[in-house]
Amino acid sequence: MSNLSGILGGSSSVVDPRKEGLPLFGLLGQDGGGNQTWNYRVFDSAFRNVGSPWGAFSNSTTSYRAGILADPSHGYSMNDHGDNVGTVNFSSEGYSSWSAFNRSGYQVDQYPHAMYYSASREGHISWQSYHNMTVSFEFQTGWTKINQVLPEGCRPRRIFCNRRFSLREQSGNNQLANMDHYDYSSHLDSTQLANDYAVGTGYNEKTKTLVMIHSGNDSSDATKTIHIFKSSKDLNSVTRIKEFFDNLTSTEYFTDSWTQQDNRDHIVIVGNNGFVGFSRKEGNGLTYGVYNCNNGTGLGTTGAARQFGSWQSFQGSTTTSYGAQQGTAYCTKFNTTWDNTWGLVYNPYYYYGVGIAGWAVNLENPRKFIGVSQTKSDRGNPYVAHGRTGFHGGYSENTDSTTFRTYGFAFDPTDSDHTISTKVYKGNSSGNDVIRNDNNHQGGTYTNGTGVVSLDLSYTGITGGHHSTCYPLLTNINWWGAYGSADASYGGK
Amino acid sequence: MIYYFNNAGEPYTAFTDTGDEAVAQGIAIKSEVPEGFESWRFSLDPVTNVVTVAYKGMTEEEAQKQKLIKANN
Repeated sequence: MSNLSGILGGSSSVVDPRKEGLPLFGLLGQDGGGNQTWNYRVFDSAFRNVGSPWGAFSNSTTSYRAGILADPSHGYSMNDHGDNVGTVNFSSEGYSSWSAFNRSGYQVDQYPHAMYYSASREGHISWQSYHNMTVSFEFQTGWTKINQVLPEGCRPRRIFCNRRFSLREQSGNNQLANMDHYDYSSHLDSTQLANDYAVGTGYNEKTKTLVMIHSGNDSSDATKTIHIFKSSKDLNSVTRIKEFFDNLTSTEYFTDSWTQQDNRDHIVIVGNNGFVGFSRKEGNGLTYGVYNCNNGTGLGTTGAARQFGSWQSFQGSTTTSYGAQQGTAYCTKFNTTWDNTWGLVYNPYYYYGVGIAGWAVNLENPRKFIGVSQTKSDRGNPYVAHGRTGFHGGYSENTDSTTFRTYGFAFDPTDSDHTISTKVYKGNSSGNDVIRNDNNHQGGTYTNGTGVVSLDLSYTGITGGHHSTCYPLLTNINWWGAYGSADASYGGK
Repeated sequence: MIYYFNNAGEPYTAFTDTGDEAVAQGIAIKSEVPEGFESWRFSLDPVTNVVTVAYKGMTEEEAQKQKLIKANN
């Protein structure tokens, strides 16, 4: 009977069409000028090559090129911006250092696009036009995208942006017409309308709960109103946003006050258990607090009555790290593991994108969190999801005479108890260091809140893409492939 | 001032509770560093336990600019 109901689509065995295979990533390696070698490969989480990029050129010294080799910004002629993307050393340059900023951690978050490029799983990468970048969707308003906690294997396929009292749906990384707009102010508590700037929003699809922060402005105002909307309709399933609000089953709010340098740096993580993690940026580090946002439990309208513990400042190493105050493009980012059991809230360790300083947060229970630290100050790369419950990235040093290396780390998807320390799985330089010749855990165990995992380099066994000097660029892939399809990216349990 | 480095000699934390716990676990090294520098300029030789300050004698702004020049050459 269960098999029959599955065939008829009546059981939970029906795979969500949004569900992807395990994460892929792209790796671009060049010779010095990109004249001899332009090697772009797409790998799955097991570092198997799964892409098939196309490109051609007539000989090494002409500009008669096609496919990825003809990219206007970074192909052979590089006429648009005059620099190749392959060998640049990203250190503290901002967005306008076009070729360098490709390596910034700001390029990648949980959404399946990147700020500067679009990269397919087939192996074609095309850069956005840098012209007019400062008026682009991601540059100006990426901070308004809601942070989503989704089912296993799903990344946000719809982009909802919250600004002032309006939730809008956007079609992608462009400035085309909104797909939808809804003014939800009638659903807010009428005493709280003075805080009329939305400055952080999170959504949990499992519980159909939308949590948003409003403040007096989107710069540094300290007053905060947090509204908690619970609906019988899934926001990601409705045809129009209005349906979500028309079907609210409960709405509550509470007020609080906290300072930070720029309100656009908020991240809001709505856990499956109704606890919500809020991240804000203070100075060079992120501060994290957790509130009980379960409606119907008589918790009242003050933050003090709902907060779990107290705000926790990042305990890892910090140095000058820029955020939204230095430009909207530098707002704090949120990414999730493939299985959506752990999230990563981060800003760079160093200036505009190198290294990482942030939190790993359990998405079942956001009261469980630890610091994540990596303190490189040049030769950075973005971090991307890896495997079932991990991430990797952050390293673009020369691969001449060495394998490509990356900071890889993973979590236990069943570990959601905030009263016990968090075990982190880490890589290393040799097989014997990882599949150890003893019975010890390879990695570390970290105290909730105050513990900090310092990331270790992992060897990958793959080349950077060129036989000599080569600084690989790691890229985010916009579609990892349908879950369960018969290819190398198949993922799951 | 007290500072903690990871076993690769990279900056780990300036916080004593987190640092001491990491030292007890064998994943950090406690050391002395001069005051007045941002942490990115510190590195520790884990064998000799000697701390190096990058671009010593320069202000933070000068050091950062010098690092950028070096990075681009």
